[in-house]
Amino acid sequence: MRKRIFLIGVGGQGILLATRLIGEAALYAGFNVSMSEVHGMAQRGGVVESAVVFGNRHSPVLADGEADIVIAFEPLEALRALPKCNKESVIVMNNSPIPPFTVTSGISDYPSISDIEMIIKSKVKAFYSFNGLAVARDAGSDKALNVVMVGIAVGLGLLDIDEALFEKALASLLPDRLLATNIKALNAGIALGQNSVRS
Amino acid sequence: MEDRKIVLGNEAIAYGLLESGCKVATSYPGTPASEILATVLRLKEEKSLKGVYAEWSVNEKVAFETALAASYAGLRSAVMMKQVGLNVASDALMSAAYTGVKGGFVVISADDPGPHSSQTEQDSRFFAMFAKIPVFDPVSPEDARALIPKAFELSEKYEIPVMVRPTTRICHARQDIVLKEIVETSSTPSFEKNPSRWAATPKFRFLLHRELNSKLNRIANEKLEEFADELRDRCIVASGIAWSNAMEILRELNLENDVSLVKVERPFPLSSLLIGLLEKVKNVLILEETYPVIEYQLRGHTNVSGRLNGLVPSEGELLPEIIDEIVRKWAGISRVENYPEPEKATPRRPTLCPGCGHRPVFFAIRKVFKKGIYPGDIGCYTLGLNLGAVDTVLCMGASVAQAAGFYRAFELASKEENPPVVATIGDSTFFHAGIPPLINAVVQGARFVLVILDNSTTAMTGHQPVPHTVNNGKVSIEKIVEGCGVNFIRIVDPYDLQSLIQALKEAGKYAFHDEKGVAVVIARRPCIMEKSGKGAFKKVSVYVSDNCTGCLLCTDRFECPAIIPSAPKEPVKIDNVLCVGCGVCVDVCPYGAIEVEQ
Repeated sequence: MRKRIFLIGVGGQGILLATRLIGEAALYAGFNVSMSEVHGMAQRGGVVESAVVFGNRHSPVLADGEADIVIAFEPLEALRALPKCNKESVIVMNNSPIPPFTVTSGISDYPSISDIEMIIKSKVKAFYSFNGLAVARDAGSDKALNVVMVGIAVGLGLLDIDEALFEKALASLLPDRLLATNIKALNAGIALGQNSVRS
Repeated sequence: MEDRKIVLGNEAIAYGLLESGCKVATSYPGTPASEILATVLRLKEEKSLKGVYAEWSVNEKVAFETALAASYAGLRSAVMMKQVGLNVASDALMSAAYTGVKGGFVVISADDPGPHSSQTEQDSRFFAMFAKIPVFDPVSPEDARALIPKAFELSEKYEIPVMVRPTTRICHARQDIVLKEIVETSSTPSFEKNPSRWAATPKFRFLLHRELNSKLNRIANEKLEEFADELRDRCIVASGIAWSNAMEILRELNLENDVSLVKVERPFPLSSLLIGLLEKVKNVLILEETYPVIEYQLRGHTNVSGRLNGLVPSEGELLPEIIDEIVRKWAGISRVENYPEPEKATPRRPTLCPGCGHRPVFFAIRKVFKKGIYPGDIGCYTLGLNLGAVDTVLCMGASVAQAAGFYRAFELASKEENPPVVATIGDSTFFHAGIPPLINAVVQGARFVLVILDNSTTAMTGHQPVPHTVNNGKVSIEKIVEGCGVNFIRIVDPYDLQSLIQALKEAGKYAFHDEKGVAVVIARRPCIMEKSGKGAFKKVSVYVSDNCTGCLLCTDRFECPAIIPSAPKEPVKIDNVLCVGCGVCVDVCPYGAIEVEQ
């Protein structure tokens, strides 16, 4: 088996931790893992992209059209990730927007969320849009959005890794004081994903 | 059971160094190389490696020379930096190739094709070729770790510095690897005096050069790499991440059995065995980042495709989709488009963090020096670009000499009033390369304002320590500035916007109106991402009152991510999650519409 997952969002949303969470869980599941990420200036509010690939693979970098799954932390970034997809790709998106600072100070044309959703839906096999931020907030912290998004992908059954391994992976990545909130966020994400599969 | 662990490429390199008995490791931070030394320091602490010395040096040249001396004394040592850092260390590099080394000496120079966070896409392998030292080019984090002991061995065998050149895609890839135990070996330093080598005069340098050339010839004949005995008619020769990407592409295109793929571990000097093997091949395609290093060494061959015949683009990363296109063209396979075209998505640029102490400085500079020229420098504060208060970014430390240069250019043609020149530089960058140009500016009588943005850390690259905060602050920025001969020095807290503006006005009067010389303002406020920065002020809660006209000065000129515009002429909003409560925006609003909740 081989899974190629592309994550995209805005600096500060915790994308690198989400990437590592999937990677560590995949390692516990016995896969070889490679990941690719961008550091430095982009982390200060710019676009952050990363990839995690498990299974048989040499390069950690995903080519256009290669993503099996895209986890987008922000609607505009979901749109930006489309070239990484193909007709069989699945996109999971957090639908709470972060407007970019642009020449006109963020009030340039940010497309409506429903427009974005319509465009994406027409291009890939399956598309899921959630307010992950609200789920994170309920769990106790906006910052847990990253873990919620991974949880949703797990709940949707996209990752083929036992869900218990994600909790184990969280414990290996986070300090104890943050663990309770994040486990709550993970489980809330998983539940949300599972419910939308059933419904 | 094997202990498999997912590590960052840079961590893998650090493991490679310590597993190989590296005793002295030095570095100056720079993306994508920063995590190598950070990991060495962490492992040294975690595993109580008493026989290892590691430091963040003041710049790459100092780092290079420090580690090189340890090698002269027979110890295995390594220096690591980003590619443009090698430019700074290049004086030492060129000469060290001639003197050679004793203990294994590895130079790790991390390249940034793309570029993702650098001012150039330069190829350090080219620099190795220029300096006449061997270079290894890893294809993965695991490979990078495995090449480090090879590099040490080669360095010791030929007494030559050896470079390892990873790229961003290696440094910042993560991969599961099997960890080995780090066993500390003992080694005793001994420095054998030999002036004709270590202090060679030009006459001896000629002899050293001859010896270096002979070393390179012998290294080219070393069988360090395994090659297939027979290559197919079509053969791709690749190194680094381009090799890994090419592996994937050949599989996707079902060309694995028709095309040979040769991995070049050591692009310079290219194996003479490989050069011979490739002579028999009908079609060779070379994939390497970023300059044609392997290709130049095959210039006698016919039927070679690559950068020199235009098949491979001359700039940018060799991303999988680019390689896909190149291989299709080369192999004559038509292209099937099966992925969506890019949608138009508004670009998103990075910005300074909420509560960053640099932001008020840029705001104040534009307010006080309206028609100024603003030479900038390298660090988080390059983002002063967004605020219109950074006009130039050249290289580390350039803001200071460029300020002097702009002053001269306008002074030459001076008719009436010259534009005020106001430069900005961070604390780490000031120590790195800002001091000699400040001395020069003072000596030559240049007139400009220099603002040193002192956040007491190297923030952009991950908060490495700076000279004035380690060792109980033995080094002081203001004393250095004073020692450079500057007679106007003000130290202000940038959160105190009124005092900051006042200090800039006085500095402007001193430098421009009174024509006295260089005026230095030190804006001191610990980075908001540091513990010392988060706790260093009284937090306030702000709200937007009915007085807000929606003029958007606060979002345009101050650009705090916590101030959210809704529409033109509509009041802005405060995002209470992002807001850190510094309260500086209260003084920014011309209508007094941002107020502190009592």
